Amino acid sequence: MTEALKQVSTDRYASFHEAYDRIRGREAPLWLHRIRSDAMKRFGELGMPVARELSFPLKEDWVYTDLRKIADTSYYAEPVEAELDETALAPYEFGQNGWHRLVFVNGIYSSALSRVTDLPRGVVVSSLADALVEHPDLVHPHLARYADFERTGLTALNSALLEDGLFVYAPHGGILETPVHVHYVTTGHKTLMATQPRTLIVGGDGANLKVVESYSGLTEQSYLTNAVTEIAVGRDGHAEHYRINREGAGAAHLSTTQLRLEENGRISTFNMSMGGALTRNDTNARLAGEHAVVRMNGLYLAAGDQHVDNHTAIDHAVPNCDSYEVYKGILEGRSRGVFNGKVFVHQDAQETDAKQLNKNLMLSPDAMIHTKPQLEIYADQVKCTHGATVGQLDEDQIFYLRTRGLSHDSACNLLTYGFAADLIRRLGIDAVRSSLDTLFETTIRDLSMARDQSVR
Amino acid sequence: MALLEIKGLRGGIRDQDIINGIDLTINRGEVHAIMGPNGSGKSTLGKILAGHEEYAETGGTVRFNGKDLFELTPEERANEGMFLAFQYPVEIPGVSNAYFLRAALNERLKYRGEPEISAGAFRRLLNKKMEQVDMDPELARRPVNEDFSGGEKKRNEIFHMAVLEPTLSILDETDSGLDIDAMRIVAHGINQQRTADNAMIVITHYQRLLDYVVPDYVHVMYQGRIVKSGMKDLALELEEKGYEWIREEVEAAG
Repeated sequence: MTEALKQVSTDRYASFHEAYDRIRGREAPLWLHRIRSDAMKRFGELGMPVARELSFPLKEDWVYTDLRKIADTSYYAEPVEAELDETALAPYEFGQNGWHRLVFVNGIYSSALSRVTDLPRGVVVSSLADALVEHPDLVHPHLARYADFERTGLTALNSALLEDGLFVYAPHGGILETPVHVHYVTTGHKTLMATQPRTLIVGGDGANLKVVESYSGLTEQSYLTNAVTEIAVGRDGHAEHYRINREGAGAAHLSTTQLRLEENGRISTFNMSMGGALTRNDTNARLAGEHAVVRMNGLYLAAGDQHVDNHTAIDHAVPNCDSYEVYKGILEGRSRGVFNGKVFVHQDAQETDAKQLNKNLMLSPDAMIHTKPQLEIYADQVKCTHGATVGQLDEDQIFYLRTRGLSHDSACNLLTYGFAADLIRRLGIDAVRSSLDTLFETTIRDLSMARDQSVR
Repeated sequence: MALLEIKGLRGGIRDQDIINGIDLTINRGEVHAIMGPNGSGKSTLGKILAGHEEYAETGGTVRFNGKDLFELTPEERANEGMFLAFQYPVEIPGVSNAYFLRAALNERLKYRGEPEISAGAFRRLLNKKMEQVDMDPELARRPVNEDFSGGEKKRNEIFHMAVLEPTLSILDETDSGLDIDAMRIVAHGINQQRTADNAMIVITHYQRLLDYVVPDYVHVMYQGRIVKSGMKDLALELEEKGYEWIREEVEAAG
């Protein structure tokens, strides 16, 4: 029986094992070989987190998101070269000029589409593969130190097959005023492909960084993105991070974002999910130094048969830290949403201030949301609040707008937009704010037009 | 042609008639005050005219601009020139006043087959109207009515009215909850909008507002009917005597 099971699981992930064998054959520092081989070994034990098959450890985290189909798919795990020109990327840009931009097409770094302009002294913005050659001493202390591959199969898989991605480094006091936009684009392939993007963002004490991480699909095909992002800032360090998922309609997007904050550090992260057939984001923060503040916001918009799952975990390990979290969801059609917000306050973490809110707007009777705050508090001097709402558009608001001349549909669209705009309005980078604002407005209008057409 | 012609109107909420036969004709250039005690059906009349879905007419006819009002959706009524200023204005989080007004104005222009207003022209219009009704520019940038004080919400209704330039405004207890200074400002805003081409229905409990917004006609509603109509002096009489004598008169007649 054990033998038979083992056989199934080996077949299952055969292409990942092959990719691992290929990558292992390449020249790399010993420590990187070690990460890959340990991670592969761990992935062999854990596999993908399929709820019905797992006994330990993370079963309950995967109850509503079923990865069986993905686990059973044989993905093409080798890099696929594709030509892409600037115009194909235009719709996904933020209208900005002069930003640092790194573009990966099907997992392969495109130097033609990437540009890194003048950088402050000591700051590094490059592909991870280049950084491993040019700055191994900067990468080594941080890579795979925050996202723990021992605990989850997906992080193990990404770590085992990690080849490239973004590396941003700002030394002590380094300030990167100009945002970095890393764009992971999938163009598709004749077979179903999988990529394992890896992003590492590190700021020293007092450093200041801004990074936008985009995932876009230029294909309707099925494919898999299994991404891992690690962000760490030192004392008094600041990082602003945006994660924008505009994957193709057939995509499965699995991601882990791991944040680490030291004393008086600040990280704001905003996660927007619009694309993909199935999305699962795990966003975790560890507050490791006192007076650190993390802001973790998110917006998800799902329609048709889309499934979007956001799991967040905030670990208050020390006293006097604050965490603020707002996730908002708009669910249309037969879509499914999941929100699970864990806040863990250790016994020593007195004077913690943790606020969590999840609001959901249901636009269809067939849409569904599972929302669950999960607070574990072991300290007694803390302020922890949480709230979850699930609602529909308000008739009084609709009527009010109609008395000013807006049609029923326009009123609904405006209210839906307002529900999201409330969160978008607070974004820190003007260019991101205005382009997401426009993107949301048009997407909501398109959704409503599609709805009207399907009724007819 | 009358701007609004109500004949034998009955209607209410959930099969229960609150309006029990109203006849009222309003011409351009006129301001009509509708007064009456609580529960007499004043606000219900406003909601039926504006097309609130929970309210329905059960009899009678209403013609607005010569059209059968009940054939029109709430937005068509608005785009034909009707405006209801709410007693309790609704908050619209995330949508700025200016953004919303531009959307509303463009719907109106589209309805009339006119081109959309340009960003520059809209900004100029907005500035002009803000000045007219003494509106804080900060409130135009903020989400519609969100975290506005009671007085600011009422002023915002008048601001919307000023921008949309309706031909028939129904002001539903716009004076309620306002202190005397706020009421003066609101009244000033309303008076700024009075022209020979438009008309207003001012629904109010108290005579107070009518000191500032002087009506051409005053109607008293009681039990869903207009039981007395007169000139502006009627409002003063009501203020002096209260509504009790109206009740007595109606009951004596009934």
